[in-house]
Amino acid sequence: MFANPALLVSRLLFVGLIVEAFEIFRLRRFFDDNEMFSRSAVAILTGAARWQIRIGATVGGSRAVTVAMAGQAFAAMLVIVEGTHTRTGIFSALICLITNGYLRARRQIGGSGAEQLTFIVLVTFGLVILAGGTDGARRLGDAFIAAQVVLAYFASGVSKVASPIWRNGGAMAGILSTEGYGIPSFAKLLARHPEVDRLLCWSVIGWEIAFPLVLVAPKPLMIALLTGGVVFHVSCAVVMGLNRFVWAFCGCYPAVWATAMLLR
Amino acid sequence: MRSEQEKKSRLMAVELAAIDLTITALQAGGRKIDDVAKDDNPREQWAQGWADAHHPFVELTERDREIIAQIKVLAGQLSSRTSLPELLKARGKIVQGS
Amino acid sequence: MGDVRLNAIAAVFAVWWVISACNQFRSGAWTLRLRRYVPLGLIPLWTFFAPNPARVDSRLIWREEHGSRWDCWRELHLGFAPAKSRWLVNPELILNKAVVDLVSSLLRVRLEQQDRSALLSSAYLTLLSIVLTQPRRTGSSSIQFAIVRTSAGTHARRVDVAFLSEVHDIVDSVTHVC
Repeated sequence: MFANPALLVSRLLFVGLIVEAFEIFRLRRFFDDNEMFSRSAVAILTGAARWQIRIGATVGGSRAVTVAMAGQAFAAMLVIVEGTHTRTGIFSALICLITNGYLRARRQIGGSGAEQLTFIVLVTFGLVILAGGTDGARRLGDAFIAAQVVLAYFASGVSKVASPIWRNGGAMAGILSTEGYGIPSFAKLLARHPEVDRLLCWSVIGWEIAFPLVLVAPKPLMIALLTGGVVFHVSCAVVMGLNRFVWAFCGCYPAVWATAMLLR
Repeated sequence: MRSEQEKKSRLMAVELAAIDLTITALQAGGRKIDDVAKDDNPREQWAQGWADAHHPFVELTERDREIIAQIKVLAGQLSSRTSLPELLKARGKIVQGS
Repeated sequence: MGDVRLNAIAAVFAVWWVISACNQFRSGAWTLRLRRYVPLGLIPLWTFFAPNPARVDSRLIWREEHGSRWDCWRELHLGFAPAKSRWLVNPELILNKAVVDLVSSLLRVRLEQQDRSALLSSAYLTLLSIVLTQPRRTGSSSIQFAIVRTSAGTHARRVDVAFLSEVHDIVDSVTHVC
């Protein structure tokens, strides 16, 4: 993604940043006094933590967060238009790093794996620019992102295989029976057909554990694994409401692709 | 449509009343919620959650055994019906001492 | 100079990845000390719905005492996004996840410390502060919160009480009228 900044797919991650900015704008009142993410609540939350953890945690209320998210949305749009190889694009991506970092510090809880990956990508980009933004630095950045994505899927797959609920089926029905992540009709369907649940569980486990092969497999298998990822994340968005994972993880697939090509 | 959905997702009055009965019955029987919480698995893993649940700010009691012992002593000294400011003051003593 | 910088970030990336990899084992026990110093979740933990998938929704409820009588329990309802739009935007996920994060932390502390230590945990204090800032009747003297878990049952929603706080006096001078 950093090594091929001219490609539109290399900018997908920044769509997720626009979505995040919009969502936080919708939640801006929760950063006011007497609300869930108020400065006093976050101060209590982080009171016992080390100073490194507390930086920015109590800086700004809803107005500051709104301004930051407006800045993030605008900057992310610029990156989508320009790419990360122009001065404007680079500067805008670094703005996103700052605003995203501020939001993570200020909120402390309620984050997601998608946000986690997005922030790691932004920090990686910052380091790439610090190293001169050369082709070599960009390829290194891509390689690191690819390694994190591979680690993410593999660790998740291994974690699932260690779980009897995932191995024997039942995990999907359970997750889908929650109001936060579920669709009741799907959950009931899976409860009536446990073999389907088991098949879905093992499909996810198999794909996640096999994902590291994407770096070394023949091209058809590589494309199949990446396509599987897109299908997986889009399905999770539609069925479970995990909307930002699409942009965060699929947005890193260009880095995976670039690294796989490099290894060949 | 949205308010209809919100009504359905909220805990209903009858559910809240049932919760109240459960708690009252348990307390009347001298039992704590801890004794009966089913499927009580704090390591339940959410899509996004575990990193945040492992966030350092909750690790104070694990940092070393002295702090844990100090917390236990201070917590044991707390009166019943402590207010939030009193709790924060007590925690402040631990943080300052660490 | 370019090579030096390139080698430097290569080293940073390598170390960062190795630490990230180590963090995947034993729920991050090996990197616990390091994570206390590294902010913003830069040492990731990549377990998604595993090993124990979420099968319940966690909800925060509270009640107030007036004199010697307790009001009915009330829920801090944050809502769930409608299925038809949450694939695109889902701000409610953030709010509900925040509650889940606090609840997970609290229940872990409670299990590990079988005494009143949980009262001094960040999660407990934060949850208490959240319910204290909710609009309440004039003259409330005490407050108590609970964590309730719900899941879909065959006919009706299953509801379990997972945690009950102690009773806490309300001492702020400002009373909110709801």
